[in-house]
Amino acid sequence: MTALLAYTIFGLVTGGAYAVVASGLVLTYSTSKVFNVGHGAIGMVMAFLYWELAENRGLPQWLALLIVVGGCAPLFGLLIERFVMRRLAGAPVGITLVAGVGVLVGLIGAAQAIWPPQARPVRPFLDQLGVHIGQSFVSGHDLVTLVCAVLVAGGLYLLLNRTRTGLAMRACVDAPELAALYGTRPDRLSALSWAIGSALAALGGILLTPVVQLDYVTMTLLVITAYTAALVGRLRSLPWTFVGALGLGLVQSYAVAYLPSSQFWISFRAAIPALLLFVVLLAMPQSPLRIGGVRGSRGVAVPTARATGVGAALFLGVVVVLALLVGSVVAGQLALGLVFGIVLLSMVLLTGYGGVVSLGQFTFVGVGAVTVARLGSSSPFALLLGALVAAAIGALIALTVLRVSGLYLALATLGFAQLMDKLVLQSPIAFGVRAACRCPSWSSPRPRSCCWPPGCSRSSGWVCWRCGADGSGAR
Amino acid sequence: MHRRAALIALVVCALIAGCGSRLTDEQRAALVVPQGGGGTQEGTAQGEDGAVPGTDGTAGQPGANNPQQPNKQPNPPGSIAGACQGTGGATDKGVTSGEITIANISDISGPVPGLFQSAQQATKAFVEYFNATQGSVCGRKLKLVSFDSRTDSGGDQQATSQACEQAFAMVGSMSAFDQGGGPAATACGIPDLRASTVTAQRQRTPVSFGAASNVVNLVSSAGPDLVKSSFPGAINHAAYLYLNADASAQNARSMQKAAEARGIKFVYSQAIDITDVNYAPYVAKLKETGAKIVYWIGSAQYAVRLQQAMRQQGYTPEAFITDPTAYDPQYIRQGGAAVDGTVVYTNGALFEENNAQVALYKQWLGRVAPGAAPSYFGMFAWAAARLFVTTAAKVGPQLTRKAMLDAVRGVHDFTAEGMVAPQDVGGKRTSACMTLVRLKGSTWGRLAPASGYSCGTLIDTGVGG
Repeated sequence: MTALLAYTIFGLVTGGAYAVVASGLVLTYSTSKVFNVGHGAIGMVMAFLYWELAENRGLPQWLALLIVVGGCAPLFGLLIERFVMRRLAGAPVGITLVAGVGVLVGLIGAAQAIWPPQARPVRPFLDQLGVHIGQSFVSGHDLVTLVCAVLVAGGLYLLLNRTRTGLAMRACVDAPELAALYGTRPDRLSALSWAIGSALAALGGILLTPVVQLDYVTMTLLVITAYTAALVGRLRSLPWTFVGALGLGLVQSYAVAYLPSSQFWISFRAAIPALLLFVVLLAMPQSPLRIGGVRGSRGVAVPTARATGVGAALFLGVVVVLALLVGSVVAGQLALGLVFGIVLLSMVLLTGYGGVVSLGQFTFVGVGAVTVARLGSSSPFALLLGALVAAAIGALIALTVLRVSGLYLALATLGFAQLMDKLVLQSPIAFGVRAACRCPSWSSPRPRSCCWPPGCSRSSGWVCWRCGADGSGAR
Repeated sequence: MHRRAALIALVVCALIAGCGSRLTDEQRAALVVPQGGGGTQEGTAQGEDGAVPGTDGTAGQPGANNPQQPNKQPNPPGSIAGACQGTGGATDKGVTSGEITIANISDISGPVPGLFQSAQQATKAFVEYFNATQGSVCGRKLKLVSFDSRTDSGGDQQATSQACEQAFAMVGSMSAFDQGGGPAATACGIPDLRASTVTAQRQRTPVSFGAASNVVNLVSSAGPDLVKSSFPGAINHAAYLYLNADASAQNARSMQKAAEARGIKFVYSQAIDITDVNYAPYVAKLKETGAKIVYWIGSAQYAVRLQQAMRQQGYTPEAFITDPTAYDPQYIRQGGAAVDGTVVYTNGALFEENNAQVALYKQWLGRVAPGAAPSYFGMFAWAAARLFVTTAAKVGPQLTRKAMLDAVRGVHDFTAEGMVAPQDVGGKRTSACMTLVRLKGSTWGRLAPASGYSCGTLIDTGVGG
């Protein structure tokens, strides 16, 4: 019983951290209709800034916190809104997601340039304080995190539901023109929501830093786990987001305590956020019939057969000339470009014509590679079968996730990709950890490596994905 | 509108200037160190044309050496390249009469920037040291080209393809996903003397050899035996935690099996996923199971997180034992008091003890990368570069990739003049010898044995082999 209490407490602390991060996501989405993929990256950069002030420049912790959360972060949010997001008002989900990814990548690069890699310890808040509950100890920092989570959730709830500003913020999302007629200024309200969202990202980042350490990627990607909590509240309800965050923290804590430590269960534990994300999405009511699928193709000009033929012939000619002229190293890089080109072409079909955003396309690349590896044949039929298996899995997942649309659908494909990565692609039946599979070479009958294009020689540019030295499973 | 834009630009500039931008320690040190001065040895490190050999990507010209003309100066007495003065000419790719081009491919960028930069720095340091003080390998100076494998198997593959075309051999490389370059290296037959091979695939690559000759399935009994003798009261209550990532998971399973074979009993074993936020539940489990020894395999950053959670929960095992990635000043700086008492097993010399090769490594590292700290992987990269030179000198003027590979396969007891424990480089078998060091008050000190290494037998765990 004491142990259960301890795991419950730890789960609540973890959930509190998720809640702070997820609340910022929900606020930004519910007031601007933009799902900020770069939310974690903003938190990461602001955490670095906090380290700079509090640890490197010696400012008191509270002052550094105030400067970053109350000054730098809102200012940064205003800039992002003014120069990036405002231009995307009303843009399709795919475009806003890509803009968010751009912000994310840019911020990681900026952080690496400004703060080169080195050890950067950050002191926790109220380090000397804490409470013993049973055999466990809740530190002062944990308490601060929990209190912040409650305050943030409560404060945002009041802002959005009990103030004129909050009401106007929500009104501007649903009908900006109508809201403007009533005297609100949509641009200012959107800027305000981004400023608050950035401040919350900063707060989340600073609170998590003493726990997860200061680095460029961990905190940036941590927010993906918080997606699950945000989706419990359907990206709108702060109370449900809070419940979702605490629930996720508890499930993860109990999983450590009570699940076996065999390989399967280790993978299962890692997949819990993605599994919950999937369950939440499946529990959502089916989206109404719509012509959204047609929306994507409406504005896309389909080239004529003649233009297609001429373009294809030109492209083929360029490839042949380059293959003859360039060295093996450059040929290899160009071949890799072609592989990525094929993957991206699938996005043209799916997003451009179908109007559906997928964040899990590379999962199908993995499925195809595993199939060919398992067949152990360099026959073109193996390639075809690999594509067919990937298509079958794609159809299967489409049956499940096409119940939802828009952003939910995009997040469902992200959840699917995570599930496949944790439960299938890393398992012994697929690539496994270290060399579970051997893939065939297209240039040799002996199994050696997964390569593309077929027929290329080993010295003249081949591309291998996931299959390394001797064709064994690699990531 | 313009005024508003100007105001925003001003604020951004003020923000960057006030809140962020500053010189790194390395940049500061580079400014402080006088260029080309500061002692006779440093003066000799630079070529007569002022070029620094081994500059990233664009290989520096070693002194006034002409790659088409052999260096006719006799090697100084005691040179590691011996007295060979032949003129074999351009005997293979990357070899000319006056120069041997070697490549180093290490993880510099990626999710963990600078992950194995120390291996590249050490190789660079060795090249500079050799060209400046050791003469030449049968009339040929060394030229280094450096590549970034980007912590990605694809990056390793691309860099290896380039190295195949540009260099005679790959030396001192270190990549987390080193399986990527294996097929390309095998295809072109380039000798690949790595600091260490990380993945089983690379270990099976016929042209790849690690100066740290570890293979996953072979574990020395010396490690568990040293732990048993150092912590006799705790060996029935051990726990193994590891990062749920490629190499860490396999190594952890293999090492746990070996420890069990030597009589250490494990009460808890668990993987921690990279995305886990709170380590307190793991600590609660450690307390619940009564673990007295905690093994950890994973990056040092996660070791710090785990130990901070342990400290916070008031849990102090008799020993927290981890791999040599923690044997690094950054680990102490990051972890502070929470990591005090950490025990690390290593098969290299201790930086705190007197060792001529380590001293040389530190000295020349300071020249090529002011402010950089020596590391375990840097030490083995230096050792790999040394092995390359001595082996190339043995091959003689007719230096070919095949001859080099044949010679490397015959290296079975390599110590780099006492810098590392005996390594079966050619046989690709884990070193049987080990030392335990412990962190005490931010200083590493020898725990066991009292001097040198303790050597045991190799246990085949069957994991990852």
